[in-house]
Amino acid sequence: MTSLYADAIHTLLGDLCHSAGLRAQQREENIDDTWKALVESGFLNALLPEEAGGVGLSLAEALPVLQAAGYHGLALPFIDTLLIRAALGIDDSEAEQAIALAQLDASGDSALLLQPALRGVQAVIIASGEETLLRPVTGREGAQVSLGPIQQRFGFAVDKLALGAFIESAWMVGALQRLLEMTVDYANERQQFGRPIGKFQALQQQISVMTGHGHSAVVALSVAAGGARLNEGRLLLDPAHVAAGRVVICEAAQPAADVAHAVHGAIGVTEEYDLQLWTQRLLAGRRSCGSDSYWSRQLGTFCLDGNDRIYATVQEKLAPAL
Amino acid sequence: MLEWPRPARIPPEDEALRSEIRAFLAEHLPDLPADILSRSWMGFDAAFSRKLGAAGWLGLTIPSEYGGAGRNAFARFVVVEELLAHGAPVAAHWIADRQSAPLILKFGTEAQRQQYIPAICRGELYFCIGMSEPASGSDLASVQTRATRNERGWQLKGRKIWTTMAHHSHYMIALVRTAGGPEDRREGLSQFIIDLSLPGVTVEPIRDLTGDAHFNEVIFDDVQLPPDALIGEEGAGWKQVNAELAFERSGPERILSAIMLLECWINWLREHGHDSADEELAGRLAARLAVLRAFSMGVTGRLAEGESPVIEAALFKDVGTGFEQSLPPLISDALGRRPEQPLPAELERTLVYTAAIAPSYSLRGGTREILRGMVARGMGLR
Repeated sequence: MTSLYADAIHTLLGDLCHSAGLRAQQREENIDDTWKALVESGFLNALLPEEAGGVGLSLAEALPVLQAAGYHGLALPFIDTLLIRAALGIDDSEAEQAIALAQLDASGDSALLLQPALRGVQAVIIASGEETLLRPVTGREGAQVSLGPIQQRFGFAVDKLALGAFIESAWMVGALQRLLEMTVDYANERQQFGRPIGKFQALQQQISVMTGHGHSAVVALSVAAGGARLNEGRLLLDPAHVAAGRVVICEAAQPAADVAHAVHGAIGVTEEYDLQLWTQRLLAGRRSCGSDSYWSRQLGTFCLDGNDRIYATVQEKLAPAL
Repeated sequence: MLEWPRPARIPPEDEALRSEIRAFLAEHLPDLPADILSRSWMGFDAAFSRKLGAAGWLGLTIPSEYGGAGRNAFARFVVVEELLAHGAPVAAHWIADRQSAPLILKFGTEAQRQQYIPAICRGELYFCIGMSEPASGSDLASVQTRATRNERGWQLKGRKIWTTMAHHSHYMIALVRTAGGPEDRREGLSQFIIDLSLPGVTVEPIRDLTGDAHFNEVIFDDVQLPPDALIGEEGAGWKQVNAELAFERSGPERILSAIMLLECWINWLREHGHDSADEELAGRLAARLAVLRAFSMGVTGRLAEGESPVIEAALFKDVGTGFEQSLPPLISDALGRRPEQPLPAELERTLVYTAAIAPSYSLRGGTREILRGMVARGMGLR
């Protein structure tokens, strides 16, 4: 069943995220049509229960759908909106805005996006004491967005950093998958010394290392989703699981991008060639919502504070989701 | 392209074994310091292996008519994971339980199964694997040890080297040439079950850099083997050897070789306090370990479904042994950040042993470079 959803989202995003489409997203051109197509797909409610008009997928079942956004390089807050709706319990009777996570600044009328690489952000959620507020975006300058009046109040706090770390990680995993495919394809096509460069052991060994990072990252996302549960119908992530998965995904980013660029050579550092759309966002994603250093320290403190063997902690508190 | 990993959950009936094997270990695990427990699948203790066999913890995937438990790959995953995580000395039965019994079950005659498998499941019969030779390491198809058919069976001549635990084993399952020459590569190779007590067999332990003697040179000087020493099909040795590689390379033993060092260091931090650098490192290692464990469970899931994910297992082994090998240098550096603080002797000995033996992690069971070549081929390169 999950693969049917994955096939559908890949078809849709494939249509929306062709080379020119991705560049238009970067410039925030024709972004309303793109968002409308995503809204109409119904995927924004993938994680909501069926009685709330959703699809009722578990987080583990939804992972291939989330990864598809990164795989196709989508710059709009698709994963964000999907997860924020699930975490806040916003069902489809509400306006279907493109929602992202933000941190209110001192003025109270503007905020910083936790994921500055996003485009087409129409509203943000921000923390306010023990409440969570939804506010529309009225303007944007870099990562800073100006906010309209409060649209909706939720009487509970959301762990925004863990949620954002998970969202960004899901995008990064899809991007790592795409980069690996692009790199293998290029190594098989590009000829030097009379044969495809993928025939050379020096590149084979590097691509094998990159494969290890890509596969580890896919597994890591299922670890990050471990421990997720529904609380009063709302999705709640487990910060320790998110930390464990996020660390490995962040650690994969630089070495994978390095191999991708090494194999592609000079064409990979041109504006025109699409590789850079993935490598740049992948590397930026490492520092959005906490890097591997940040989450390592959180997880390390969690492990050291307990009395269990570290391997028992891994077995019992950091198992993957299914 | 390789298929992307699929997560797998350990079925509840297999997970239920965990508390039982933990209880067994609480009662029977020898009380040894961490540097000795660090030997784990290099630690020989026949009495412990027999206790495991008597309690039903060996031959978990072997059918009950041969003395096994008739369970799936996940049951074995749970039990092996607990044994290794606690540093249990499992070397005596390790190869027999992991590889020899499944191989004999798959390729052996009924008489061979009856002769060997029940005793393996009891923890009484130990095996080693004869692969490398002085001139054949990664290039395994170039082996020169030869078995020649005669009126009494087979005459064996040649030598094997780096054979782990041969000096404690009753039998070796060896890959040798029965037809053709080195130019025939993968053709003309066969597997034999060799009784190491036969006349003409000499086992010479080789001391390793830690002072242990875990591996050996084994010399066959015109050893007369009976006809039923041949296991499986004559000439099909290469195919038979490769059939088991996914089992050999995908298990938790590929992430747990240095686990006692990690546990020792964590305990030391808990006793002596930790700074932000220690916390960060501990978290990184826990994160990598959690993901690698999930990786191994995923490959095990495919084995349990009857697939043979040889490339995925090679990829996992490369990543897993890389993690294991990173532990001694990372922990060594972390400890050295406090030059004024003396190290307890047990932690020091554990670190010295683990750092010294760590290079072997990515040699045994196929070198890293060979595995990466396999992965590249699996990705569609070449």
